[in-house]
Amino acid sequence: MRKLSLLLGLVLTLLMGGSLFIGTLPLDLLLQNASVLWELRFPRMLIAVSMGVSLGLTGAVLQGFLRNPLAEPGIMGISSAAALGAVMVIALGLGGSHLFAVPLAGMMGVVGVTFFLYKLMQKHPNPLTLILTGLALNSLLGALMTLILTLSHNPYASLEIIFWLLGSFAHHSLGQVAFVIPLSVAGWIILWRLRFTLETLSLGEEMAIVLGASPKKMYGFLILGMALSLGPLVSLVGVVGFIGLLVPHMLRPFVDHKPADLLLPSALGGGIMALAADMVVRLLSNHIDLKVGVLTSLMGTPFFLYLLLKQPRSSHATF
Amino acid sequence: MLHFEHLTIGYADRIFIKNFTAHFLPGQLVGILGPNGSGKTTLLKTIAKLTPPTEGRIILGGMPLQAFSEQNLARVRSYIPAELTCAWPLATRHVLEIGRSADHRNWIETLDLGNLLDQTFNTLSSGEKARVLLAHSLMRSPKVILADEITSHLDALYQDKLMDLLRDYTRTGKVGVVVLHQPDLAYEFCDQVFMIEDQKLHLLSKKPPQLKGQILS
Repeated sequence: MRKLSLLLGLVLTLLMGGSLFIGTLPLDLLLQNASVLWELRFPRMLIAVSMGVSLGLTGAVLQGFLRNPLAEPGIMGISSAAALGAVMVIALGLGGSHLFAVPLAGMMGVVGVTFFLYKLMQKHPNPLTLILTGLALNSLLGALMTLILTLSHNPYASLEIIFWLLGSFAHHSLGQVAFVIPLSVAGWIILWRLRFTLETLSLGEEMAIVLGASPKKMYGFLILGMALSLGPLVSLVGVVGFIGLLVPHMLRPFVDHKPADLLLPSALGGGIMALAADMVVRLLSNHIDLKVGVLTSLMGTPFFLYLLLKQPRSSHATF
Repeated sequence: MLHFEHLTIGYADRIFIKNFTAHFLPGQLVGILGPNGSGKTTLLKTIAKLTPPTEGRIILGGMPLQAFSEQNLARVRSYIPAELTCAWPLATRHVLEIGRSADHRNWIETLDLGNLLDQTFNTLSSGEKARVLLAHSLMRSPKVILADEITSHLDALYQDKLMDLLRDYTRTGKVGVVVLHQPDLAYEFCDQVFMIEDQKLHLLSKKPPQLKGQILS
């Protein structure tokens, strides 16, 4: 696990440095305009990396907690909930009213949906219910967002919302970044502390309790950690799908399938994937205005279908 | 060390054992027999604090079970379920590491697990799993060891070996409670043998004629 994390950390660091020099502006012009570097590319890089880390980490934690490789914040409607919260605030014209308004609304959305999913999992403990509920939630939340868009009288705001929903790391100020990232880091720390619970849950909820974990109590921390690490970021960036599904799944064999050891590599891998996707978007930006959320969904959907079809019938999580 | 005080176990609509009081001293291995659905597993789970008793209480080392935190309880009792599947395809060696066991001693050698360590736990046979889970349990040096049908899938050789091991382990000042399907094993290795019947725990005399050689299942 250490070697893998070191390697991923190294790649991430190189990409973080390299990403500052990728874009439409030629290098010589860039060096003359240091402000482009620090005011545009630097915050963009930070946002991309934190979003990736949050997605990779929440994906790994959710999969470990629910003992289901199909769990992911996007599929379960958690990202959409953050988006809906944010969209409501934007549509009400409160977006600019307060620096905290949009991120807070995003967090509320995540808390609401995660709590609902928690209650549901207690009553109907099977992964199929979870996935189908996620599907239903996603389409409900999507419909609500469309409704808000249609009801909005300001065409400019509607356009903003549409572009925002597609997910992009661009156009965020250092000030916004400085507000959102500490919240995410707090969420990462909370999720990181769930390692023991994840490890013992491999043997089922009963054995987790026998071994000294309290999975039911830890559900609260799971919800809080996800709300903090995803809510504010999603409310700023929009929905970036499938990183939380792909990254943990690809890295799991390298940590011998140990759910707790997956967290750090998955967080780093998520950062790499989000940043790499954003770099592709930027390299192509002269030709098409591709949104990063569109790119990750294009890559992720076939992979998700593959996983769904490959999953053994008997696999089950018990909650 | 382990007291049952007016213990009633089961569920609101299905009582297994009513108003039972007993006291087990360190060094005792206790065998529980009973037909299917008589509440053997529920009794073990109640002692493990996985299921609350309907009435009465269990006292462990002078402290009521309910007063233990999960963490503290994990240090003193272990529980081996009758069946276990790992959610991930973990290798046996990694399953043994789950829960940070402190004492690795020679349990791996004693239970002949050396050649199983690199195999995926879920692919092991039930008997092999039972040996792995017993090792996992013993590595934590529990004061109270609870085992549910640990011998059911084992061949005769390992049945004796595991029961022997459990008896020797409890002789070092621990209490063991094991649910068994084979009365002969219970009589041979356990200090006290109980039978659950008609919502009561009957203390059986050794080798009562009506049970001799008969397999209850």
